[in-house]
Amino acid sequence: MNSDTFLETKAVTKKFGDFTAVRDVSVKFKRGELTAIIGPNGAGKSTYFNLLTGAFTPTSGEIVFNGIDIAGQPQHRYTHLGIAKSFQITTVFPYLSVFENVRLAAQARVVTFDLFRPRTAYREVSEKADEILRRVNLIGQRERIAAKLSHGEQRSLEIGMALAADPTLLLLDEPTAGMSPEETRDMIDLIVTLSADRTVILVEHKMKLVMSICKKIIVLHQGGLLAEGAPDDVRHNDTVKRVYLGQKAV
Amino acid sequence: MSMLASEPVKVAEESVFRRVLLLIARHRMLSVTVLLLVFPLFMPYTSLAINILVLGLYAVGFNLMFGYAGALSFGHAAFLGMGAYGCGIAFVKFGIPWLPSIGIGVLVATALAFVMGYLAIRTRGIYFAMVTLALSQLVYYTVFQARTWTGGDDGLRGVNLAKINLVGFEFNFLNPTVRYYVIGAFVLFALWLLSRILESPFGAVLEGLRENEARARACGYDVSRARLIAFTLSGMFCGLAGALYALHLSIVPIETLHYTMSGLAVMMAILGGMGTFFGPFVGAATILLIEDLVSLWTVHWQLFVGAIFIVFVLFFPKGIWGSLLERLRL
Amino acid sequence: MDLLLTQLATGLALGSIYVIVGLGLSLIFGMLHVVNFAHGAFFMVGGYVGVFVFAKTGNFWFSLVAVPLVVGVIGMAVERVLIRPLYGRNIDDPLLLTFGLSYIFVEVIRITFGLEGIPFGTPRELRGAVDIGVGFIPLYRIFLVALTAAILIALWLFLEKTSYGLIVRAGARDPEIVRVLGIDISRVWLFVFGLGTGIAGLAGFLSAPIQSVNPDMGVPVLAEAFVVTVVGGMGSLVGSVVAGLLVGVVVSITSLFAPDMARVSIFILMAVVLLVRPQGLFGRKGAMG
Repeated sequence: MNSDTFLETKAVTKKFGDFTAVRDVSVKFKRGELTAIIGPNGAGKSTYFNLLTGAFTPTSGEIVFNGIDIAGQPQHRYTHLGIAKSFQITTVFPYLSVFENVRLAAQARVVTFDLFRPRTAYREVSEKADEILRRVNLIGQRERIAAKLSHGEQRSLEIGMALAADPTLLLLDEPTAGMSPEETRDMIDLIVTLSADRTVILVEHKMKLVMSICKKIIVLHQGGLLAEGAPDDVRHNDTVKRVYLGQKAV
Repeated sequence: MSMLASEPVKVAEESVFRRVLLLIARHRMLSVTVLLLVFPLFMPYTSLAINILVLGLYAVGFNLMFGYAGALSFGHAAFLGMGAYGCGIAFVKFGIPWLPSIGIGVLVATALAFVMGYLAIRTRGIYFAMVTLALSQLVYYTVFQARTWTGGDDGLRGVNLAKINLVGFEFNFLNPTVRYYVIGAFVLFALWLLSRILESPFGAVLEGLRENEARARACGYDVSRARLIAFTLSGMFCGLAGALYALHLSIVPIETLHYTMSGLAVMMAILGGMGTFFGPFVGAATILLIEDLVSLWTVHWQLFVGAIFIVFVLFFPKGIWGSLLERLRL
Repeated sequence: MDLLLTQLATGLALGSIYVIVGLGLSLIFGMLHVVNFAHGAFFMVGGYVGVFVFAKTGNFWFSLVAVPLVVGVIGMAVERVLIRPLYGRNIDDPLLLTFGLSYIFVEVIRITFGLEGIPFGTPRELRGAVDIGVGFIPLYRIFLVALTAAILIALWLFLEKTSYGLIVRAGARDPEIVRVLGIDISRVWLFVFGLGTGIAGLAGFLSAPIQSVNPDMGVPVLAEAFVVTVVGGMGSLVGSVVAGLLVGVVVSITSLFAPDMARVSIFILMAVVLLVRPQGLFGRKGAMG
């Protein structure tokens, strides 16, 4: 395996009954490279993403992360391997405070089954939560109930929770979905900053966005891999143009 | 608050009320201690106060699983019952002193909770209620058949504890007031323990589990294991309640294990307020007082309890204490 | 050997009751995603309605038709008034509500018919025993098996061959589809709840000659119905049938060798299934939420 290959899917296939959602996809993701997975609706993006996050187990094929096959490991193990994700639909702990949301996420890698010491005794966890809240610009909302945040703030909170696990690989499912143009710009800035010191892979609908910030694009179509490469290569790929980009001016 | 401004007298009243409730919610252990000390004064007779105490602890144990870990069990009678039988059999059949007997009851219930939890956790959501109910029926019929040890449908008789020695003093356990405060001390200890657990990192995990299971899993928590531990702890508290129940009643009736007893825990938790610290006690007091008052003029008191329960499920799912807390936005 | 075979036949007859009860529970769950904790209470009410109607008319066959209708109508009223407001709320809420309801049913029956049970003899037409080659089996048990088979065939024909059955099946899979087609899904739910509770009531009446009716007869049945659905796989109708018969056979074979263990055996069966195949014999994996 190439030394800068960080994550690799080898002939990954996912079937739901008779329906093959993802077929034989082999892709190498390089360390530190901001990569986007794109494709028309029903291309298998979300299924492929969920295979990477461990939410689905592949029907066949391997998912190799840092040299080990992680396919089929229980979901909670992924966090401990250094893989974190944000959901497509925003999901936080709605009735906990913003701080407690991040604190709980940060706690996962430190302690779970301490039943007796007060949680405040783990100062490093609390301090880290505050540091992350500053990073995702939510420190001012620290004591608010998560459910009362705006949509954009909730997405930031989610990314903060993903960061709390110190991931080396961050997976984002449509991070700017449903955001105002202003919120989108803030989110892009955040993603670019984050990709400086970790590998970020995102699924995205907004073509302009991914073309401008990503180093590598992976195009899925009807469950299979259609093309991969730098944004310019993909943009000028004839097959891609025909099935996907041709529909809209890019 | 502006709405209240037109009624100045009520404002004063409410703010005092509010302040008291705030104090209670903030200083849980202090309030519990004070409440426990004075509680018998407000009850028609001491034995009822003890019943509320013991069954309140039982509901607290149940609530740890239902209200905090978010899984509805219909089999908690098994833990109350095995706590009671464990303690009673150790005391009656083996002549073990009362204090270690309580420990044995708690151990038996905790072990059973672990095994039952291991089986039931394999299923999720709505299945959980069904599986726990069926497994508790298994315990019920087993105890029912084991007459030699358990007394079968006659119950386990002769759990007679008269004198107890504590810190060098001898107390008469037959005196209701003494009995109340001895049992109260155990309940207080259990609540302190629970309070510590809820404040701990594990308590935080339980909150996360209840709020959003998928997210808790994505955060990296082993959800099944956390549930199993919560279930086992929950069984432990119920087991303690059971052991105390056996000493209080001086008999373990087979009904302790019955489905109706599991249902009682559900009713107390819902009526009082699931997922709150004081809710289960409020629920226990409410139901037992209704039983006490209504059964004076009809044997069909369960009709009232059932109807009140339905009204709460439909209109006040947060229960008495939970709704109060919400009204005051504590 | 012959004893074992007759016991097997007895088990199938007992299993028939489990099949009918489990089927009703599974139908309601598959369609409405409601675990009906009042299912045992409906079973009990069915027993009382049957005994009452039979006492008034003296006609067993008439009672047999009246029971599911009366209990089904009660069930529909319950769905319409009490359960409907809870759709879309926490999934535990309908369960809790039906649980509370079972208290009310039991108390109302106690107030009306007294605390003690009412014995109910096998109807004259179905007394006697039949030689099935390996031994004699009471005629009533054979009647139970035959009636269950008839109910299953009728249900199968209804679900597979009628357009309304098609709607029910589609609704169980995805309520949105039915709604898009312009069909009022809430009426389908109302009907299915009535159907499920109606056959629970029928099962209660059918079991009356075996165990006499009493206000508390619903509790063990509820637990046993849960065993049937867990063993068979929640929401699977085929699973209910196979598991119901299996439970019946396990109970009667155990009572031949170790009578004390008969009641316990079915719960042990469930525990084993949970260990080996947590989704149930016919349940789909991941369809247990």
